[in-house]
Amino acid sequence: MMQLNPDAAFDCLFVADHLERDRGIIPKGEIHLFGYLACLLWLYRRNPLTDWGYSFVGTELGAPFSLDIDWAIREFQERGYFVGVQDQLRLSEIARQQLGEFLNLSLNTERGECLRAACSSTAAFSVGMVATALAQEPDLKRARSLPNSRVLLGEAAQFQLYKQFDALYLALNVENIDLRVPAVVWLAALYKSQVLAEA
Amino acid sequence: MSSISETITQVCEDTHVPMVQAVFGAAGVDAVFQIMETAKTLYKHVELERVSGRVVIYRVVSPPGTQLPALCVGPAADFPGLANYPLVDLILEIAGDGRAYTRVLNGQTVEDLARSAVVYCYFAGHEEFLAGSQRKTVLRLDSSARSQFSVPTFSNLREALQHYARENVRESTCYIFQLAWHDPDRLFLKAKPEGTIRNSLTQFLRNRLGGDHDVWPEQNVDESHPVDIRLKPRFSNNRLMLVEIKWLGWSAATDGHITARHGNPRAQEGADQLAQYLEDQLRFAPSSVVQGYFVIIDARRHDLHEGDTSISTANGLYFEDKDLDFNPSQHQFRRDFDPPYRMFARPVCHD
Repeated sequence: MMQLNPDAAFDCLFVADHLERDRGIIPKGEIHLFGYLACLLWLYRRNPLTDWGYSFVGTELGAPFSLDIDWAIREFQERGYFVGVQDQLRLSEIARQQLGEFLNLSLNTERGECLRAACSSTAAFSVGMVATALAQEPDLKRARSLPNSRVLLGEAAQFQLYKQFDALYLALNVENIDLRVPAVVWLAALYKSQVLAEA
Repeated sequence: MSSISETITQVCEDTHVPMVQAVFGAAGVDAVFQIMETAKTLYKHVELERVSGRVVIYRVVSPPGTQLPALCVGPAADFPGLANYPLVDLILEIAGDGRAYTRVLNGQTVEDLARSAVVYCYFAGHEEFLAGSQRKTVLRLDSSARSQFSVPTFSNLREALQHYARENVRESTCYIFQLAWHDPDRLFLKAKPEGTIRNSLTQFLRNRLGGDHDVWPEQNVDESHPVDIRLKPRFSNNRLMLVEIKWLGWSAATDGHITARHGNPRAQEGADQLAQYLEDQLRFAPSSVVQGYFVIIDARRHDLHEGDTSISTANGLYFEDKDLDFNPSQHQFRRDFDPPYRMFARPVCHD
């Protein structure tokens, strides 16, 4: 029996709250998408992957998926935190209170910054653009070329990712920059690389 | 082809968010995201086609803590209320409370404002950000949207296709789709326009279908594998949506000679091919739930002749409301075949 992962639970509520405010609905797949983008921004800050608290697999379609987020969604539906059916979920009042309590914990400050930056990318791009761009991230791109789902962000994949992040650091040249800046620059570059590859 | 590192450097140099960060620091970053979110919300309510002048949105960031003059404070802008007004210029200031207020510039230019504010300016399909003495054009990642901040997200493929017909094909507003035409008045398509049309629809679907769908263009191998675009919901492994595209009308080579003429039989042929392909899928992958979507780009013109350079409204729009006849009508007896999506592409008419 799986247990509710507290990090995945926080991420799930944070992203769901953003999606509901932005679009009025909470598509489940997008919770995984923005959770993964936040995890990548955590790595951009040079934090250890193990401190993220849970892992992702890449599906054969190049989409990120986390069992812990999936479990959190199910749990929250059972507990009445998420109400509605299928993708037409909404946050209940009790879920908002819980999210408020999570946000007050200082241990969630850095994590919250990554989640906020990931979710804020929808100010600059449609969700479809974010998904298309992220599918060009080195490990998701590789996941797409292999027939089976596999764990993301192994050592070799992190090496590739950090090469891109080094280029981002160099181009932006600002210490402790607001994570929303590298997030939108990187996504735009990934999106453009997809367009160039298909041209 | 440039490497991803070069693309990152290029995007950093060309785009507005790093520019604002460099000019105004953290306060500028907060402002630019508030402005983008405000623009997104505004464009959900106000169609840019209805704005004949500029849209300016700004947020004062320097010196820190600058307050609005008391005289300027009024009710926050009511975006839904603006929807039905013909708008000339719309000037919005985002105040310290995060809300947008309508303003009058009183002789100030956007360049004046930009000395102490992050400023967004939209005019006639062009949008840019100004900060300090710098300005950057907004990178447009969508070939059909009027603004980078007005790309909606649809919940399903049917809704998306209906919008594609209306917003992209009818007046050929998509930049990619425009490349499919042989002539500026849109009488003839180019020879073999299939790839261009497929790329236009693929990009449209990717940008507007949210993060739940994987959209991939296919290379047509032969007539028995007619599918142009495949879509898979990312978390339902047994679901598959197949889009087949056919075009009707005349195509012309660069020297103007006609290379193909396609009418109703071509549409029937496409429908039969897709139905056969769906049948094969049913046999070889019975556990999959496959749905077929047949898109017909209708560029037929009445009384058209090789070498024509203009057309009257009567002839140009002759086929706009004329539905196609299908016999057999695959969509009527197959549950896995959506009713065909005929998308009429209007020419430029001269009377």
